[in-house]
Amino acid sequence: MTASPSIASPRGRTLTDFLERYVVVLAVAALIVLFSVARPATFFTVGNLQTILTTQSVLLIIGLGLTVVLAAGDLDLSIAGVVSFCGVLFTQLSAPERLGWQIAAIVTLIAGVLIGLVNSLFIVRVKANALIVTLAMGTLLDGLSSAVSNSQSLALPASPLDAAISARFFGVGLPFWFTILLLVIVWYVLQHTPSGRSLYFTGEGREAARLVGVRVTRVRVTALVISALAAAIAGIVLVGQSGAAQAGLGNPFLLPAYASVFLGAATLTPGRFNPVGTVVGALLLAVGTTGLQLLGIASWVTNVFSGGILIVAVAAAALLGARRIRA
Amino acid sequence: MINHFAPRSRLPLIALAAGAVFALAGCTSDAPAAPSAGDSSTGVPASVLSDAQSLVDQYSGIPEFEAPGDSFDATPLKGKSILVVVFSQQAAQLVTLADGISAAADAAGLESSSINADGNITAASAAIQQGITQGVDAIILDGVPAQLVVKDIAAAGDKDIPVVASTIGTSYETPGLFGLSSADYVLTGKLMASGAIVKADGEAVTAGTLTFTNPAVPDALTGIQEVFDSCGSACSIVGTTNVEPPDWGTGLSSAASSLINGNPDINTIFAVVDDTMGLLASAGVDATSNTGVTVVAAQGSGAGPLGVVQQGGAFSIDPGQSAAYTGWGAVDQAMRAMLDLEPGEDITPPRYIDTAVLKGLDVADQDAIYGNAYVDGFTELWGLSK
Repeated sequence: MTASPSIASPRGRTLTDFLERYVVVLAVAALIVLFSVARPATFFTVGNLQTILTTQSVLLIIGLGLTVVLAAGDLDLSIAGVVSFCGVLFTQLSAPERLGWQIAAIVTLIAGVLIGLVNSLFIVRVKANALIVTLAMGTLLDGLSSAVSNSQSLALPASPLDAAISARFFGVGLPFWFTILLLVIVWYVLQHTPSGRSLYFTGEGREAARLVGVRVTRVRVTALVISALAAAIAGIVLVGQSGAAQAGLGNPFLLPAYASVFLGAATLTPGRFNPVGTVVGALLLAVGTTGLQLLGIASWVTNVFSGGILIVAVAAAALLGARRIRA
Repeated sequence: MINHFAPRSRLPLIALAAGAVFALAGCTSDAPAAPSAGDSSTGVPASVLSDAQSLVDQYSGIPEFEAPGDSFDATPLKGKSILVVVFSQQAAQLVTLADGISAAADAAGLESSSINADGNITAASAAIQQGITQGVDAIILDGVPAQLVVKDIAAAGDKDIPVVASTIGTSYETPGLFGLSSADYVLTGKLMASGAIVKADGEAVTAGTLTFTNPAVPDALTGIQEVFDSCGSACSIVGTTNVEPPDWGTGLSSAASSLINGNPDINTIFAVVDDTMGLLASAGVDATSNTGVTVVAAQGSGAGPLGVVQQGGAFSIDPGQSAAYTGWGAVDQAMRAMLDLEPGEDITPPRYIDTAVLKGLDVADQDAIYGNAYVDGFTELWGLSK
């Protein structure tokens, strides 16, 4: 690694490394301390922790899928549309007089996979710009969501799946525990398997990866499918949590999902998209937003906080990534 | 790896995909098939025109306070806490409503706090859960689509925390809600239709409607249709286009243009919320170029839309109601819940607003348009008047 004056000594080097790795984690801890002192009766409570964890499940599921596709060097702006479309599709199909919840869930997940395949067809095969393709796909899915829902709010029929999504374990919604399971799987695959290494190789340099034998096309297609599939799962969880669906339900998740993933890329393995970092990033946003709300601060401050954090995170991820590649 | 998709072979694929997209779009269009246009040679029956004029006259004055239920003593509630979940502070009407809630809470000695959900249903859900965790005494939903947070409303109910919804219409029923405070959007729809009939002055009214996914929209359409049904073939809706809020900036103008160009008989556009009016100008339906089309909006909120109506021209009718009044009504409902009383009938009375009504008024001053009789009315109802 290229040494800079500030990291000349081994001790300084260690401290800089530590700060690089854990600055976002430290920020989360600092915010928790800050808000706990300011609002001990409302912020520093088990109930608040349970609420934060339960309500972040959907964002985390989307974020984990997005981590994979960004690590592969692509991007996916259709995720919000996939969440909306799959949420509406599942709700519409899961009525007992239609397909029932089991088949509806399978059809919805297949729809997610197909959307990922269509995205990858255009991005990987046709070599169309990923930004435009996925943006267009998101718009297309928004339109289809309105068509499937007939532009109405749809009530989700009661089902065992619906009940499971609403159930709690240690006071925290089951979707959060499912998200933790998903996190472990994604983390293991990315960090400890050849597939994960191939994904990172592909993301850092497609030609170089191709030259060392990585099947780049397959990796990229898989990443795009995983992203869409995660968004489809998030759509089902979202309507399960709320009990209803309507077009556009997933749209507000797009920016926070990217913010979480880029914040994650600035921590633990700085400059590299990583699933644990994504979870930490989402927690930073959730803790910050919740704390500011409990302080009763004007809502524009919350937006400034979220936007500002994202800018800092993107800049940090870019700087750290460049430094890591130089090293 | 061999690329099996050489550049020359991509064109048919792209063409195929484009065709599929267009086919999908065609198959899933939510616009209903246009019925035959109203027979413009047939005028509106005189009795219908007279009824329309009567309804317009009835609601053209500043609304009076209408007690939603029996009076009660609110003093025991001093110090109780309410949480207001504002669906989006980007919507002027919801901000005005939140201000009304805050003012009413202050008047009643309640402690109020608010959370902005930023248009995110999960954030709204989290906000309700936070209210439950904090143990607030009541939760007021400000524009939150209650049907999308039914489980959170039920969770609040499990903790004996009443939930009141506002601005979602009065005919909507959500399990677990204690009560509503809202405009009667069916009546608003009737005022819209009546205004259009009066404006057409006996000529046939051929209308297109611009809608979006919102619980109040079906109510407004019901009101419009009820008036049109009495009109026979002289009043008709020949096209409806749904444009969701994120697409308003780009979609409204083209939707209005398509409606007008596709149906030359159209002389009225019903825009179900008035926030959309400014965006319709580029569709050629503006105040300066009189195309013979009248834009009839609803909600009567905010200086921007009302300023457009005040200028006259095509944008000339905008019945609405005071959002601040609705906010006071929401607090009234919340207090009734906290006192274990029956829910009130908190329906915000509307005012028929057109260019003539707004003449000489400061459109930024809601009190000048809707009055503030509700402030004294509610404080007296709550036993708090000095």
